[in-house]
Amino acid sequence: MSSTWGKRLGLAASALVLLLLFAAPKLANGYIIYILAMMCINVVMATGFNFVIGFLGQLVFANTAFFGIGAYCYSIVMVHTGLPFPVAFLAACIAGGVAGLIVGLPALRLTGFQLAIVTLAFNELMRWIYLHSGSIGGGASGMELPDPQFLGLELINDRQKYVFILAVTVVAIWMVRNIARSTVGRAIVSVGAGELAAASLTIPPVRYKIAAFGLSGFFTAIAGALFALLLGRVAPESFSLGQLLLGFAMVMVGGMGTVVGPILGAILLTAAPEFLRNIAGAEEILYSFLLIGLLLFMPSGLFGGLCALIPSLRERHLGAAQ
Amino acid sequence: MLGQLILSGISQGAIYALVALGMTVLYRTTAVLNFGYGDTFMLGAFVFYVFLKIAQMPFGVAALLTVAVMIGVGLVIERLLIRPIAARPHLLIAMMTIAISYLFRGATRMIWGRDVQPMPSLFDFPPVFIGDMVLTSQSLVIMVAAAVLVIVFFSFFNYSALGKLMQAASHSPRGAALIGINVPLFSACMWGLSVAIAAVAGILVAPVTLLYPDMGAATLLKAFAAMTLGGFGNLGGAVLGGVVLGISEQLCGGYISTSFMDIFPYLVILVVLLVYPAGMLGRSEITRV
Amino acid sequence: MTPRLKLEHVSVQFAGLRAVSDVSFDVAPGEICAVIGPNGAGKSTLFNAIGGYVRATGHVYLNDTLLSGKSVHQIAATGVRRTFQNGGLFLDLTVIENVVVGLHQSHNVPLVAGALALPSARRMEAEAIRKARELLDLMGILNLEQVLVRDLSSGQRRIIEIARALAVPAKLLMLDEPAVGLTTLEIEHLDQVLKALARDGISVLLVEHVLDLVMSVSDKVVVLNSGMRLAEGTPAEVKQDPAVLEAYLGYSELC
Repeated sequence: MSSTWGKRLGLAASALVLLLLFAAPKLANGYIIYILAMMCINVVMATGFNFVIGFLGQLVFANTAFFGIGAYCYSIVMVHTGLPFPVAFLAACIAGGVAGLIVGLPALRLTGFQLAIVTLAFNELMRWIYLHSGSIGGGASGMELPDPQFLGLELINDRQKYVFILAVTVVAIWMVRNIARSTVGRAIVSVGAGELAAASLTIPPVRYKIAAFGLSGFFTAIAGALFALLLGRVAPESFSLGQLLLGFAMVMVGGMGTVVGPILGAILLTAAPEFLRNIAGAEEILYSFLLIGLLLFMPSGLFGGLCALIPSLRERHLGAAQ
Repeated sequence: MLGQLILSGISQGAIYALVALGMTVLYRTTAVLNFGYGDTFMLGAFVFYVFLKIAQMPFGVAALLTVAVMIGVGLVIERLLIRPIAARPHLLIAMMTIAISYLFRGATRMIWGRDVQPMPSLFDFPPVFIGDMVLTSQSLVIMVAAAVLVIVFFSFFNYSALGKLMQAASHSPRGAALIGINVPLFSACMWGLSVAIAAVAGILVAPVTLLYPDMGAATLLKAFAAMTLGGFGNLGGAVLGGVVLGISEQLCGGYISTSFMDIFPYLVILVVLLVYPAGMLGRSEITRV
Repeated sequence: MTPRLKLEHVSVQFAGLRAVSDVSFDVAPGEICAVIGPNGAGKSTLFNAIGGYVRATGHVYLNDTLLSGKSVHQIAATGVRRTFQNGGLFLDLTVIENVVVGLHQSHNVPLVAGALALPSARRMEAEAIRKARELLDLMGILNLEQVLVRDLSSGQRRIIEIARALAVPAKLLMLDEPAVGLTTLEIEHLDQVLKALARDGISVLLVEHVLDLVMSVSDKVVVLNSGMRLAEGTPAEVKQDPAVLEAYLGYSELC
């Protein structure tokens, strides 16, 4: 059957790509390593964002808030407590998940637009908190972070950090893929596609809406912690509305509601802005054109467009091999 | 000091009221929440700046031209970007307005960079003194102009033929199409009207504030706060919410601290939507997602 | 014998309008009961009241369990399933994915187990897929397994919606205008499917306008008019009821 060969080819290609990615520290120069690391971080961030905006189908502006919470939580634990790196990292993830759950609660009572506005306000509130975080969070100028050392392992230079970031990214994507293909993922998609129909099949909408938010917060916070790790510092300016748009653009460009979509979008959009950064306003104009073009002609993103052409590429929401 | 704060608050609030009103008009009649409205307002202010300071036109001409140009922009946007996707899910239309906001912001930033643009003060009337409170001529103009615009708008809404159509559409934006309203034309009118209101607000605020490309984002949130406070989707509520927000903000800044003033609108949004989503004039039914 | 479904004085009020007024009737296990009536008679509202989609006064029992006051998914969990007038299938999922969602109640893989692809999760998932395929095979549509629901005809969608609703055995199946948009052949097929379900002990409650189907498949008919129960009986009895004829004045199909 051609689809089995297609699958084998896909697996082989993925394996090759992974091999190259892990070998990169030996092969590429520091600048490329940094870009690859940022790509991984953006992949995780876009994937986290996708849980609510893609799988659940709800417009929210909370992704940057979760990203920042992850980064700051990690930073605060690293700087102010004597706790080892794994604890700091875990704290960030948990904080993100909890923040997600908290943001999810009003989602149950508010209409779509009101929720969007609340999350926008929440985003700005968090940024104000970072700015006024004084000695705990470093305030407007942020904080420098110590480089992690644990179990004899050191993450001091970009290459070492990159390998860790890559490993975490691979695990995170694997987990998201599994979730999308199992009960929870299906339930979230069902609730987003037809809440009453889902409820009629014994799926409690409340539980899975909150779950979507919690998962979004969890994974986005992982990206935030990785970001702080990579930069070695954390500052409020990284969590602005510009970041927000980036998240949107990545998910939209790649394809909402799929696992591959945000990955694709993150990869494409991480590479692009580097040369645009020098021309004021160019980044924003590019993103706006991109979004407008997509919304008019290909709302399901690049991956969505691809799946329309090659139906067998379409992602399953089922687990075991067919 | 209380009186002075309230006076400043009304003047500030007048701008919020206009922006909130313009956004609510579009939302009620076409069910589109324009996340690019703050940047539309910003663009209006910048366009006015171009006509007034760079082309050196007299105030009246510059103002009229600004409104005309902005209405043109609004119509083009509606025709090219909104109408093609009007039937799609709200999520996508909202994203389109976000894209538009970045288009405006990027364009403005490209031309003016990160610099702020000061405007010359326009009105030479001496300030008005009421007791020991001072009312600058700019504030006076803002309050009067805003009040006039609001009165004109509500008269138009309640008594004109188009206003009646708007009321019908407000009750059911999608249902309006069923009773034979020429939806594309109506939609275009509403976008034109909404953008015009933003342009006027931009014109009013330009002389009293420094212009910078990011001013739209802050204004957007203030407009949301005003709409939320006054009752989301309620036209009168938008105006009321705007004024109340302006006054509360000033009081907050005067009696608590100025840094707290920055997050005041966000707190308003969070508190109102979490505790009493209906706001001051809204209905108390909470619609499920 | 305890009735499968028992309605006691059920009323639904919408801001001044009484959509359903003091309706009481029973449905026995394995019985097919049709609810008919002119437009606006309150049939769909009654459905929604039973399923928990709208608030109602009065009592609704499934066997001896009180349904009133429970939320939609809780009522569904007691064994009540339904289809929707405008089709409740998830359009952007495939047929088999839809059916597997229908197995949520019996095959619920916890989050962590699913995320880490633990063996227990994989086993349950494989079993769910196997069961779903069995069900599709039983209904003769295994060939449609991988088709996106969006690409199916309304007749096909209707059958799949019923299959999904019954993926986990149900006690009561509520069908909201199942015959709309179906060809005569498809209606006959539906007729057979419903009778087979009833033989298996599942009670069926359907709202329907296509009176041929109603007359041929129902054991019992309840007629509603203006929210009130107008008549109740076998199809033959209801057909001759003068009150019913009056309500349907001009409705030649009944004669």
